[in-house]
Amino acid sequence: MSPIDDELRALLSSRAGRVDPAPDPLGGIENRARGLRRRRIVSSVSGAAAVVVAVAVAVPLLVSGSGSTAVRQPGDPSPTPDSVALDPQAPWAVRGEQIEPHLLDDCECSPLYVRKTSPDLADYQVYGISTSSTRPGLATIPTSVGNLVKHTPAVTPLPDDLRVLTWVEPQRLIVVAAPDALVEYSSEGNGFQQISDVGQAPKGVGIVPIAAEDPNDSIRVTEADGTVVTEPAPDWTPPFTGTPVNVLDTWVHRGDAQTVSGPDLIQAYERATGKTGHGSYRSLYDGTHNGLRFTIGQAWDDGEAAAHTVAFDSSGTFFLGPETPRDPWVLGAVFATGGARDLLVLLPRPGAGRIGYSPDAASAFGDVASGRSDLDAVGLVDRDPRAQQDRVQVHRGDDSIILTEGIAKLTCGDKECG
Amino acid sequence: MGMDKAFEEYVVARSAALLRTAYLLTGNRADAEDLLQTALAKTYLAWDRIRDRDALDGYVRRTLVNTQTSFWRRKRPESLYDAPPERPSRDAHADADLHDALWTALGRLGRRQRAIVVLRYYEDLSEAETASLLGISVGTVKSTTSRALVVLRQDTSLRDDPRTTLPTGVTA
Repeated sequence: MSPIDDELRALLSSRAGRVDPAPDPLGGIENRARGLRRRRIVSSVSGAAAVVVAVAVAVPLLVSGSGSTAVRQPGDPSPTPDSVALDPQAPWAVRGEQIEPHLLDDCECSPLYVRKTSPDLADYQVYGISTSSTRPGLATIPTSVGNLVKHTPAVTPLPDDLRVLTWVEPQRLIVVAAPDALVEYSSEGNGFQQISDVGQAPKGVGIVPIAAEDPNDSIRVTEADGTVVTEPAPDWTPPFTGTPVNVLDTWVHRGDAQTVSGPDLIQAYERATGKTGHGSYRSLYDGTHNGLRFTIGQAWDDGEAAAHTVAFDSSGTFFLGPETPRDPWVLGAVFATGGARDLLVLLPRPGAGRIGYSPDAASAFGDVASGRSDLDAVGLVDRDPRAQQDRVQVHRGDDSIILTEGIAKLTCGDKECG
Repeated sequence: MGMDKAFEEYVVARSAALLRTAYLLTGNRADAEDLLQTALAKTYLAWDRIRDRDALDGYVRRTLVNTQTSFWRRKRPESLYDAPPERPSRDAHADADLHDALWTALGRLGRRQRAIVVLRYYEDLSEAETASLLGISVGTVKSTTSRALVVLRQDTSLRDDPRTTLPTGVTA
């Protein structure tokens, strides 16, 4: 113990002791929890020419006994309020766009509504029910023709009331009800307007733009048997816009379309870092090596001052690297392949020249080049898992050396290396 | 939503203590209440997944620290700290002067440094417990604590005060 230790203890104890308890400790928690639940995870994917797969996170309608009202119309001879509720075992018919069935071969899900997310590219967003025994719930599945990749659905718990299913996306609310239901929306307490069976919205599906939190908006669903269900509409909270300064937004996305699930990556990032907020991911490169699909990029959480270099592969392995340096010459990530060698991915700054790799502190650098045009100058190295002093060398376009760096510096995060 | 009874009981029982921790993390009452409310809301959302209810305090503390980082992004740390309270007479003030200076200096620490100081010197967590709670290595806790003490000691008003001598092994 030292004097400053003692003084710190005394100070902190003294200051804390002056804090009176809050008069109503429970007040506001429920509302804040509701607001937090409505926020969405943002997955930002860059790429000039890359196919962009829309990713959204389903947000179930917050249902409580008091927030939902089922009203039977006068004269209804046999009111059965639950008669058109969704049965997850025998879900409603699929509505919206028709897609090739094989696109959902890998998905343990029952689609309910399919929306095309880009007019030119065959990208779709599928809204449905996850039938996975381990991850049941409302599912959002991004999928794309020509990109035969298993997409892991973003899943949230099923709401208690299965007559009105809602998904919130940036500036858009999607409501899926029974196929013959009329869906209406009221903004700011104004009158209800029909949002199903109009425009691109098929019967029983409502799509409405939402700008920001509107505590007074609501959804009304009139089912075929006359049952009227009125629910408060979930809100969309604009995502955090304070992008950390080290996000490499001048680096174009390279490689393939994003090959692994952004939400899954963000969840892995939050698990690895202990964050409980809302994460973002920006992919810088997506590729495949020996059957392993992977993405490397940057992830950060709301309020974080700096983004981390991260990577994720199709087997679900997550790599947490260090905080990304400002304007680096090269990023690195290591994937354990399960074999005798790890996969080291070296992602140089766009426009940099060739990159070299040395397996230890003394050996000469050998060029990292596979001749694969899809690599976009990205280096893939079969790396000895025991390597500790291996190095990378980055050249300028004129072949002069701009950087020689230990791999550990690229790949070791706060907790461990990779 | 209808709050879980057990959660309500937890909040009622523990909110006063947690608010004190939040106050030390944020430096002022208003932000402390805001921080605690957010942390408890996050805890509530995760309530069904928290199997070890005996470890709840640790969960909430961790959430407090993680959530608190966003507070610091919005305001300058210096502006966050409540002004030192007025004191009744000058004689009683040698310690009070020191504490005021130390409190102000604490407000200038980085967010992780400050959190680790609070966990170590207020919550009385060991280095290992602090590391486990924050998900960082014991070495990082040690080095961060040392750096924080050095920063505090370097504060102009504390530099020459014998009561702020650094522990053995910590050098400025």
